[in-house]
Amino acid sequence: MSYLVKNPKVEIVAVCDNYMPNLKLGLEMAPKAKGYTDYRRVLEDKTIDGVVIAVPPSLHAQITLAAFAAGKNVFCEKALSIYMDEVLEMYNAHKASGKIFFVGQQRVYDPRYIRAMERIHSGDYGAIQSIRMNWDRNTDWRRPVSSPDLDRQINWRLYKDTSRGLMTELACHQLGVGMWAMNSIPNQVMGVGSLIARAKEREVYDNVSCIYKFDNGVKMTYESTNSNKFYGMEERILCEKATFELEKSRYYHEEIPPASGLMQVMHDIESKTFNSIPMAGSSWVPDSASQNKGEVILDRKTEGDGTKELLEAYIEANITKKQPQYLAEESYYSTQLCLLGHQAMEEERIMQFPDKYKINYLNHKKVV
Amino acid sequence: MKEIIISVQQQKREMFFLAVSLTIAIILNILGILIYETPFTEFFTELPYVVVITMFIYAVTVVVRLIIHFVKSIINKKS
Repeated sequence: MSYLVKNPKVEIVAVCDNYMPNLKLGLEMAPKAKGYTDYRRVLEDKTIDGVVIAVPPSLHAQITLAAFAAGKNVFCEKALSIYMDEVLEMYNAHKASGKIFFVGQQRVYDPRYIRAMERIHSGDYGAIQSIRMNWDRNTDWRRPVSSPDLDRQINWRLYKDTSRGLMTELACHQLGVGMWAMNSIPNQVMGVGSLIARAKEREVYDNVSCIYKFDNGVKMTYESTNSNKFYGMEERILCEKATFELEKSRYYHEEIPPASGLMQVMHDIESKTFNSIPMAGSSWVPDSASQNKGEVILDRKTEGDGTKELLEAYIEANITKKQPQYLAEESYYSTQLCLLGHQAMEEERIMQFPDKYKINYLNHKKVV
Repeated sequence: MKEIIISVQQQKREMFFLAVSLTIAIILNILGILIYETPFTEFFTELPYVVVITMFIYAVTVVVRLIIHFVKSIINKKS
């Protein structure tokens, strides 16, 4: 909302929240707006072009479907829902209504990610061999509540009937990136989820690990934990000739160009002069991680993570009434993949992407 | 303050050692290009390193000569 109030093309006419402190905060940010506690009253306002839906994912579908039915353009926070059926219903409603549909997958508008994808898709770095993603935090996700009755409303991330935990909150952002890099949708997923450190505090997993398999055999691993933040967040795309770290915005050539002839000669002289001569030794050399410092993916500084650009694009789409190509489809599959991963963990079995959720996009064809 | 006078002969000697150091550094650069089959443009791009190596070799010759001078002076004092 802080981005929207600064944009001169936007007039915020309504703020809706059923939690009074947040409604008050929203109206302070947009003083000219009218306050509502029921979203249905907002949708009755014919002058409104578009809505931004930022509620728990378990409520996304009902509000999004009502908004499309009322002829509004929709920006919905990710994940689209906690049920695969609802995600399909939302996508179909978007197509049927012809209205704009944006989802809060800001990485698709992040200049660093766009440049990385240009490089990967150029083919200069060879085919993708593996994708590894992780998002590690050390947080309980719990927000303070003034009354225990409000706990489920405020701390919805922690409960199974309102959230899929790490999958819908974090994986949803990253799985789409892997799909974007591969230009393909994985058709198989297996995974393990567990509650290790925070079993007394929540219902959803605090530790997840999933493997998604693409049709060509490439695997995309996803790991996330809520009880150790050391490795932070990263998306690693391992190509034949280079490795990309998208969050760091760096890439590393597999073969490092050799040092100059002079430097190699000096090194030879130095090692022959000072190094001891081994009498015997192992022929095995440890496969330590490369110390290659790599190169920057985007050679200019950027601010933020693409959220501003994504919201600006939504505003432009409201004005031009043109849906950006494939944006809804990317978002659709980002949510479906995280929900399928969750299902694989819950049922402890390898899941195939169900035909009934396939839409016409990339390697998927809608099954009638 | 004492005036230090460097004779023409001393100057020529130091110039000689510097020229020898520079020649060795250039030869090392050429050897590197030939042995490791690197681009010939390195002959020019590596010139800053050639200068550094020249200074290093020259410094080594200074140290060696100082040691020889020191040892000689001890021997001469004893005899």
